[in-house]
Amino acid sequence: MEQRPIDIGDLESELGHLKENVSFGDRFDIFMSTRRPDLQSPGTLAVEAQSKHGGITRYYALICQKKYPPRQDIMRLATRMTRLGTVTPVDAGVILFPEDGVYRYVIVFEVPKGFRPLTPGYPEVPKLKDEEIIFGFVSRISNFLRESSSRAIAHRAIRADNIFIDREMGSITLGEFVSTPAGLLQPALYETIELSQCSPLGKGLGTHSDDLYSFGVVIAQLAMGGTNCDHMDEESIIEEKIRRGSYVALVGQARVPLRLVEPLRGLLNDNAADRWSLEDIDYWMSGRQQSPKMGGLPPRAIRAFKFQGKEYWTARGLAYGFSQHWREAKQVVSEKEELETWIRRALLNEDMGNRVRDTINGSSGYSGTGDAMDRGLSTVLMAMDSSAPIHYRGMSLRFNAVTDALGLAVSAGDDNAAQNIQEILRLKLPHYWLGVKKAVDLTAVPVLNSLDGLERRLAKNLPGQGLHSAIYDGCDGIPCLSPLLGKHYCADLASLLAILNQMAKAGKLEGVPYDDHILAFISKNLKGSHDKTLKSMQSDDLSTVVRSYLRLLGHAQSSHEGMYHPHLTVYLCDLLRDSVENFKNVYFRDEVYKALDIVTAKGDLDNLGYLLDNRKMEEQDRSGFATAQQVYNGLHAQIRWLHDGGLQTSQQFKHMAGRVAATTSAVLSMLALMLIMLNSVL
Amino acid sequence: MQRIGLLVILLLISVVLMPTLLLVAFLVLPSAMVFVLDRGDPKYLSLTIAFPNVAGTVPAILDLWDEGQSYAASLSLMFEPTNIATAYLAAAAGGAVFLFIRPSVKLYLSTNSDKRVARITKVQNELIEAWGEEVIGINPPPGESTHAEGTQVVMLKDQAKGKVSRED
Repeated sequence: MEQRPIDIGDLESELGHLKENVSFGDRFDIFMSTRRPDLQSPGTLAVEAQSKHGGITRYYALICQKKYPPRQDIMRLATRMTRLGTVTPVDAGVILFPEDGVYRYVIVFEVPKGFRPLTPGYPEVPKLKDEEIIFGFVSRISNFLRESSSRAIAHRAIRADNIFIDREMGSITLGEFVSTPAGLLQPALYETIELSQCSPLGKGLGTHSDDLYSFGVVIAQLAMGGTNCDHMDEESIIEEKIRRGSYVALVGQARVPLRLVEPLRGLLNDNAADRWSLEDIDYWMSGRQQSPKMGGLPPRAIRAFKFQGKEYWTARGLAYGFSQHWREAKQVVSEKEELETWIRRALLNEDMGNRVRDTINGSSGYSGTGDAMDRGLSTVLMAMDSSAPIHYRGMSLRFNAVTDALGLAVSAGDDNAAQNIQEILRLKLPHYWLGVKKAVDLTAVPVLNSLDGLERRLAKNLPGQGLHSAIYDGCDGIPCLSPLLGKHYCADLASLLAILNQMAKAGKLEGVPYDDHILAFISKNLKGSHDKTLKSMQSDDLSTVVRSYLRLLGHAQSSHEGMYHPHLTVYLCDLLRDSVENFKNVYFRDEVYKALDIVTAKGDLDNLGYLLDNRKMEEQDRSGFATAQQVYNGLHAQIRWLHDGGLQTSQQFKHMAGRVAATTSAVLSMLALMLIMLNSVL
Repeated sequence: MQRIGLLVILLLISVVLMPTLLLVAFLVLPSAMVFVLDRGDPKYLSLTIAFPNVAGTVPAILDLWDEGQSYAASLSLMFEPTNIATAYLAAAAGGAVFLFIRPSVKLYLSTNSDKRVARITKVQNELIEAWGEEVIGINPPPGESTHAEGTQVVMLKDQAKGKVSRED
């Protein structure tokens, strides 16, 4: 069995009780009772799957874990890379397991032909003929590597226990690479010297060149039936590679088919710039001879540096040894003369001696911060081996893996690692690491910018900001890590809403179902700026918080057409029912209740938000009520005025009485005049 | 030229009607006195007395015109007790109308006031129905906000019965 750099457990114990079949949309049936341990990737559970549309193709599904999540960010691209001698996903997504009501991430693959070495039943790597290796493996996998390179995807799981050897067809298929974070489970044997020193969480997404190195290791294993380092522990493998160089450490004096010596030397070159590329492999495949450069070994000292019972002869080896024994190394570095003297007099490297001296002196400026010696040691290690990853308090990570490492550390629940990564950022160790590089690396500029952005984000103090925002913004494809979601796998906004709806249905929601993780996850995945809404969630007023949250969920729902969540809608509606009671206008309130009935029955969060988080409606109601009160009071005053005989005593009364009297008088006078005239005429 | 002509005509008429004018001036003395004393605006009391007073002078004028409209006849008719009594009593009757019409108007207004209170109360009840008891609030002292705007009430009723729609 292959050694693992990290034990990520398996899902057998967690999912062992599930027996019911699960439907993967309208495409596949997942048979939970038919396990496929022969196809299982570490940290997953493999079960049989079948297409709902029939056909003779056999499928299997991997159920992934949340702690070490699948590579969701490349899943879509990976599904398009078919027929390239690699097991690629056919379909993937979050589905509901009705038996226990939990959403899980499932990836469906076609079942490859052949057996996997280093698995139960096949404990050894078989030794293959050079033709089998060249035409059955190198040729096939080159195509995949070419395709993956063009799509900027690294496989990062090329290792002996992840290949399927089909002896009948004489072909070897590369196993899947998407069920766990890139390189997480890659043993030191398959990693370059730089990567093998990295903590499992700190390897980043990896590069095409890293894949080529792993490819070379597997070729060596297949050519020799294993390498010289196969049965060593991780630390010994790394030390051996540093001491002797990868090719010599792995192949040594073993007999390798002559035709394979060239590619092995080229692919196992420890200098990434000199390592064989796919073009070199193509040249070699076409029969042209090449003379790959041998990776140079680091300068050897004339006397060893003794540390922790071991003798170190190179600066790189000693730097690695220091990184593995942090506390003791700090002691050594604090007594700077011993190390500096060794570098100057034994290693005969004045430049390095000066750099180490300057670094130690420079870090004294940090004394009193508590991190001074940690920073000092970290920078000393960079000065001693500029190609090594950033080491800090037992954590080692690649320069461009800091953001991903932070996300994975939090995902894995490794608080110590998460804390260390934040300190690495705060102490600007990536900047220093880049500074000690001999060559200017322009590709590092965007990485530095993103790290600066990450640092700024960490300093933000809003709900869903700070560390949480840094996790989701910095690590693409990481699921929502909210403890509120329990075992549910939340891959995107659609699954977040579905999970909350499922939890509401099961009565598992309490209070306002959000936390910093959920808010940060929504912020990351929802278009537009939501700072204002997030700020309003700091309010002590519960209804304000619920409304703001509802606004976010409503936007999330409206971004997915035709998606409704009746249980969640009812739950949130109940939280805000009091706000409807706050509407003063009875008719209006009734109308809102009627509208709420319609909205909750449909599960329309967006319109629920409109009804319960509508300032215009509230303002209308408030101003209408104020006017109504004013009018009522006016009417009341008018009644009092009338009761007090206002009409009879006022000027108005005098006018009216005068007018009536004058009119009456005029009419009577006219009548009298007519009588007089009539009388005189007659 | 036209104005001069008109003045000439009026002068001629006034010369011709001078006896009549003298008679009328004497007989409408009560109206003139009330007009001077009446402080009202408009002068309803003066009008109420003037209409019957003027009507009461008409029989004397007709008699004057029957007798050829001479100054002597004018003076004779002026002091004839019947004519004086007719004109002045008519003026007195106008005064009586002014006095006695007020209670009737008061009665009418009182009835009208009750109807208005009933109408206002109805509107108030509609407001309570639409906005709840809270709309009563704290009533201002009498004299402030003495009347409700009719249009405002109509607007509120419309708003109260408004439907919930997404049209902003």
